[in-house]
Amino acid sequence: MKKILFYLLISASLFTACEEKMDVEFNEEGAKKLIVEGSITTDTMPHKVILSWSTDFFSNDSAQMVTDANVIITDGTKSFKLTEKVPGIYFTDPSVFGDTDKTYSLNITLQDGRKFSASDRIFSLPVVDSVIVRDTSLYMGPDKGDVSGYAILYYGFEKPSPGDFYLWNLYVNDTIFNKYYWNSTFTDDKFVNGSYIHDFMVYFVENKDIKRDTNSIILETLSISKNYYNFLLDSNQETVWRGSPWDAPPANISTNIVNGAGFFKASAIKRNKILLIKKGQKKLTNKSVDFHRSSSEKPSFSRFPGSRMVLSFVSSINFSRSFAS
Amino acid sequence: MPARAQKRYTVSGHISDQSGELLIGANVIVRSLKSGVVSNAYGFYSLTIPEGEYELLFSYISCKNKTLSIKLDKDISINVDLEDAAREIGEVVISAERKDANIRSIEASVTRLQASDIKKISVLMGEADIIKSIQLLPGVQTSSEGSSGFYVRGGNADQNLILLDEAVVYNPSHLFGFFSVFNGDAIKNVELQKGGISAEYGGRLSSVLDVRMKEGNTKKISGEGGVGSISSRFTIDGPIIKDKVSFMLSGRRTYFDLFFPFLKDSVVKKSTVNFYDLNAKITYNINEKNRLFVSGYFGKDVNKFGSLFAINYGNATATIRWNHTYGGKLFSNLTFINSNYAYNLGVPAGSQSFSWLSNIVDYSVRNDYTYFLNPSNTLKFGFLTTFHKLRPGRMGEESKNSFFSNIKIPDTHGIESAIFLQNEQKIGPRLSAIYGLRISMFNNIGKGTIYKFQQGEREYSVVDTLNYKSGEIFKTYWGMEPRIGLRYMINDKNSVKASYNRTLQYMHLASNSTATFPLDLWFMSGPNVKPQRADQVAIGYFRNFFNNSIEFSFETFYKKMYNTIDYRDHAQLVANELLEGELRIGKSYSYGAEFLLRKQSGKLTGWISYSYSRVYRVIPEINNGERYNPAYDKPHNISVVISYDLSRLWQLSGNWVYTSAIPVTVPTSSYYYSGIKYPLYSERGAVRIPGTAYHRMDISLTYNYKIGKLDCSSNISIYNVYNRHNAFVVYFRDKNAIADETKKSTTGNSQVEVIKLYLFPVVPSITLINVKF
Repeated sequence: MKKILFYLLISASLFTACEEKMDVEFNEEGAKKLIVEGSITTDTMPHKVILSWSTDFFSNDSAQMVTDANVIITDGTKSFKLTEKVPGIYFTDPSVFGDTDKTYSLNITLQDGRKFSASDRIFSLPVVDSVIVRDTSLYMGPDKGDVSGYAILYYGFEKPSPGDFYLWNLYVNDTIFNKYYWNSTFTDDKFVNGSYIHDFMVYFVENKDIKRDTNSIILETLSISKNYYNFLLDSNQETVWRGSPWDAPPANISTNIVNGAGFFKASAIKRNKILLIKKGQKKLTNKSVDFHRSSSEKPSFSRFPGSRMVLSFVSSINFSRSFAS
Repeated sequence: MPARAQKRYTVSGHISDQSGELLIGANVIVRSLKSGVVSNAYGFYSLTIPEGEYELLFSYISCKNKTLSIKLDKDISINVDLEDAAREIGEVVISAERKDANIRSIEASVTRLQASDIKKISVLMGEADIIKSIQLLPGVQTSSEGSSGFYVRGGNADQNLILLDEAVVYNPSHLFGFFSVFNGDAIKNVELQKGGISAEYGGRLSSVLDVRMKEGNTKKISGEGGVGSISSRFTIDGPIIKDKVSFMLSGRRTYFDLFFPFLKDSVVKKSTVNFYDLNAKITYNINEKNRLFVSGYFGKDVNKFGSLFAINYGNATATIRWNHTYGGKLFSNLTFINSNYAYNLGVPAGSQSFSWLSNIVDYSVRNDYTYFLNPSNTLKFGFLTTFHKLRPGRMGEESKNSFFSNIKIPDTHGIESAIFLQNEQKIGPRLSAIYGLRISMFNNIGKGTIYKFQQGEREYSVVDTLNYKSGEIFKTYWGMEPRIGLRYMINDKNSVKASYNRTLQYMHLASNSTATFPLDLWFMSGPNVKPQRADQVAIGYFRNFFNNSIEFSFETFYKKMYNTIDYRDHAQLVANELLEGELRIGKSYSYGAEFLLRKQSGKLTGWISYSYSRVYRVIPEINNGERYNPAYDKPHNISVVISYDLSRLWQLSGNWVYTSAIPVTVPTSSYYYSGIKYPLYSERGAVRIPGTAYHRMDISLTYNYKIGKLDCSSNISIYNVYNRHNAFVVYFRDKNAIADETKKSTTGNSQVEVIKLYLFPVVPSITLINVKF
């Protein structure tokens, strides 16, 4: 998926680009930083914050977890104290949920008294008209060629205000499909502000990735802040998209953790569940479930993994670089 | 010298080669007076000397000398055709006259190459390439392998004024930089000024690359063509009316995509990847006093990947020039120029179809004069004014079924003007000087939208939006740009030269990667962006050996640049109406020493160059304000360029280049987020990775023969002979995280690799046939 343009171009023009592993190491040591991975959503559930220390770049050691910290999420009026259930992993009470249009702060006090904080806002989501699953095939680059699978299509208006950001998660039989940021679809609304989004392929699930007994597909639509959008974009730029001469100079991934790194994310969340019905003993078909209006709608459109090539384009017109990478 | 109160008369005219091609920089020497002049960019010369009888000697590097006896008792006009010294195949030419321009010319830091020099240089895929040749000169750096970007004396890639028949070429590259837009067959002459920049040029800080197209044969139809491994090309030129009107038409096109339909891949099958360009010129020799030139360039890169995605880009330029002489001493050139660079990209069909367009258009008028006052003083003066219209981006109309809205980033407009005056003066037998002043001005004019920004730690935020009416001038910059060059002859074989120049730049390229990209946008100075400014001093020692057959030069320079532009981390440079908020401004400086040994005649020709140079940037909001090296800071540079005539029929040429490893930013520590390893970086450009110094050797063998009356040649070349895997890009990745996306990656399961991407192993290529008639 990396360097697609480049690859196409190169292969197309009889040039070849080859990779070679280099045997070098840098023993520069960076200062230890507190790493935060946390989120709060509009779901009622235990919300999680993971605290760890930064590690050496070239070592394979696990991160050292940060234990016995005092971790609190607050919206200014209500405060939720988090409990450490596993070393370094802190949970809120299961009854906790976030409200839209509120800003949530995360306050961390380490055992040694050092304090860290972060904040993020929950933005509201538009209404999702529908989510459709469709049989289709998709070109996945020169290696794979055309691949058949299921397109998860999104329909609905984008919010009329400019400056909205979205992330989608897809669950196939309750297992997350976009496990990593690099196969997650996310976008800004720069090119679609207020538009009716239709036939937008949020995800493409290859036939090989969907089991015969699959009966449910859940598309989660999340509102995210600009800062988190930048964090996702930077994450891609600094890892999987790297490796072309059109890359911008390496730079640290943005963060909202004061004095630390990582991200504390706040999101509104909506889910569309699609039930797939088996046709006889044969493979899944979406004909009978072509259309599904979920009661707890979710919205959006964005960055699509399979055709990242196309969408990385669209969604962030940072295309020149992201496309090239 | 006879300095009596004698009547003076002027002898003037044009100097051309035997095909009628005007010669730039040909010498006219009056032996008895030990003085002379050099023809200007339009082949015009003028000498005003006392009444008398003289022998005039006309000479030019690749031509036979010509001597004419004249009786000067009135103003006279003499046009001279110099016969080609170029030879029957393989014949070795030894010039009779010494060629000591290296030491005698006042300009230092200037290199001229002719099309024939460039064609001798072995290059990738056998495509003669002006920019690839320029990159082999001392003081000129490449960005990444195969790139058409170049960096002169620590200046950025956008600080080069690239002119094709006086029209600015905004993107000199084809095929993402692997080839340049200049077709060697259509080009007459190339001059690179990297220091002591003449007052007639401005608008870029670091260099001028002045490329001139051929005028076309005025005597008979001639042409050349070739079938290479990448492209085919064909040029035809000749008289429309003999000695009066001539034309030149040259085209080339790549053809590797013609094979795509035979490939298996469903998308590649329906893909198009090609580029083509056309050069055309008509020269009308109206009469002794008037000449008219009309020339144009059009080039395009077409890349279409099935119905998935398309990106096209190209330059178009048009130049109309009128040369007029007033009484033999005053030469005027009036030029109208249009230059256009455009790209569009998009997805052709479907609900996510879109098309994004961007372009930059220039309209210029330039009027410059050369006044041949006397053999000791040649004045140049004139003005130039350009209207720039930038259209940074807009959605096209063709997205009917698409859900993308039609957005548009506001256009910007500006007027860039300059007046200049320069004198080239022989102060004594040893000392000569060129001194001049350029005054330049830049106006931002409406309609326009300017954002006011407030500084932030990472990003700037908009605090105000100012809209300006159409035609309203809302910001003006101006500045003085003094230029001085001195040459002192120690004796016939040695000279020293010194120069100082100040340059200002009002147009900038938004690019923060090591290689320039076709989507990189130009933007202009304005309320948020001050003009870039540079001061450069250079001193050089020049010496010729062995009867001027070997030239040596040593030059050293220091350059200080103000309002240097860099970008915040993770800047969004494309499709961003708030682009100016992504800029981070500071200073930079560079210094270096350059050695060049060059041999231009004989069986063995070529050069060896070595330069040592450094460049630093200090930008308060980048790298914590600590100075850092941009990616093109490569201290050591060696180029060896050699061509050897083995026999009458065989010619061997080769190059070897070496450059130091580039500075890179490397991770010093890391962290886990969602089970993925994220890098934490050191300061910018802190490390040069061992083993990433660049070196490469190319060899090419040419066989010349005749078929009937046609001069033919075939060529085999090998790029990267010893198959060095030069790093194109070095990056870091977590093998476990990326190799298998389905694998459960947890903290501590990483395996970091340093990956080198290399582009060209050994690449052989064949040019089946080149024909000249």
